[in-house]
Amino acid sequence: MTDEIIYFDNGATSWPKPEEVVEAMNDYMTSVGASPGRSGHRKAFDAARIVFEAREAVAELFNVRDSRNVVFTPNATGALNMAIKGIVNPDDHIITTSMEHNSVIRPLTYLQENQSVSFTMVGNNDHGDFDIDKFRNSFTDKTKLVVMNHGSNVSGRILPIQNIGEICRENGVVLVVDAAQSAGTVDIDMARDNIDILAFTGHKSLFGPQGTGGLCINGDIDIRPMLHGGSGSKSELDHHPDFMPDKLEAGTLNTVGIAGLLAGIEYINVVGLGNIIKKEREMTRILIDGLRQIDNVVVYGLGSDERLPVISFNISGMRPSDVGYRLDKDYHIMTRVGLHCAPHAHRTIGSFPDGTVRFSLSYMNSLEQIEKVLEAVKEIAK
Amino acid sequence: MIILIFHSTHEVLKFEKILKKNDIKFEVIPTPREYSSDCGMALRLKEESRDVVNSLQEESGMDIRIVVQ
Repeated sequence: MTDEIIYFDNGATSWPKPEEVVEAMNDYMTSVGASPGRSGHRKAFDAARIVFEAREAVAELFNVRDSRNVVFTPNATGALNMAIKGIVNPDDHIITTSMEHNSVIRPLTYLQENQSVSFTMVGNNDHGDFDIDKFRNSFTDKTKLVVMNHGSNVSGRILPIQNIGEICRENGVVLVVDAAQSAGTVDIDMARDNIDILAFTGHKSLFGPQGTGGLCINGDIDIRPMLHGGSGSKSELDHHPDFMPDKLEAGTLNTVGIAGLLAGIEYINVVGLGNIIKKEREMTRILIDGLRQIDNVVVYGLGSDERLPVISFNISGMRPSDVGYRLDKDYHIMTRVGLHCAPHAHRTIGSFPDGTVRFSLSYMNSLEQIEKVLEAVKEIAK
Repeated sequence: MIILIFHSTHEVLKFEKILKKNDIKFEVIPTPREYSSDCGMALRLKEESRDVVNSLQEESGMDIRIVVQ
């Protein structure tokens, strides 16, 4: 029996990364190494160009009108905090869903407890789909923001973002989309999809390293900065710049990480996002179909075919943690068990408080691996 | 020579890309202190490029300070 690792935890972070990503980071460390936009020598210019090209690559991927409106953050959580706290004022109302990750719920809860902000969590309808009618009726005259996760890291369901965006426009409310799980595995077009602000992470389906992520702003939306500090511009002033991207960034960026992120997006462009989506959807379908045929296995949140390569399941009579342990120890299959930092999602799909075992795939997985995993689950479920 | 001074690193690189696309020769230099105290970069070009720079600037809608040295 081979000790081949089967990594089905790409929802946590993608692995392995394309070779090109590791090479780009290595190249940066060995040949460039400088701080972008600070010193006036050629290495600094090279570093700055990498960051600039990365902004352009992100802007192209999501159809952001101007790459100056792409700012880098250490992760999607940082981006979401910046957007939410930078827009919402005391007494404002926010609309979100009942499937959110803690990177949205915790900032909202903090604002609720400290700034009399209120928020509505819109759940699913009887078909298990997002209740768009309830959403339409949730707007009040104090609604300032709608923030929702594009794709659930628990059930894999994808929101009808274009429709949601339209409704936000009708109400004159800003839409922030948490694309942590969807960027790089769903076709996102900020203009077409009516998305005002997009928070993304670099280290999942965009194949970058950890420590990268960002915010894309498509429009003239004033976001209060979270950080004030060195920006490589207007240094004579004590005030932090008010022009983008400098306005929402301060200090030295994770340049080596961004070099990797740029290579990750370039990899996606070479392979073709359409091809990535096609392969992932096919693997997901086969995996779900296979799981559903195994006795004692419960698969959660089955809905439309259009879903993320993320599947939550349980084996009746077994704790998720025990299933995960056996998958890892006996079969070398990596998964994530528990609540996945999204307790409300588990409440919504009916798997609270124990949570689920989650398989999350990437383009790097294979049909062969899927077969092995299904065999393993069959064995464990006996 | 003419020197192009920008508001931010982002703008320098944006215009650099435009110049490259249009095959116009330029050099990246540290911004001369007398023009700005930004820890940034500026672009230096031959005076003949002035007209094409003006039209590219207009096309791009960017706010660039052009100084003759």
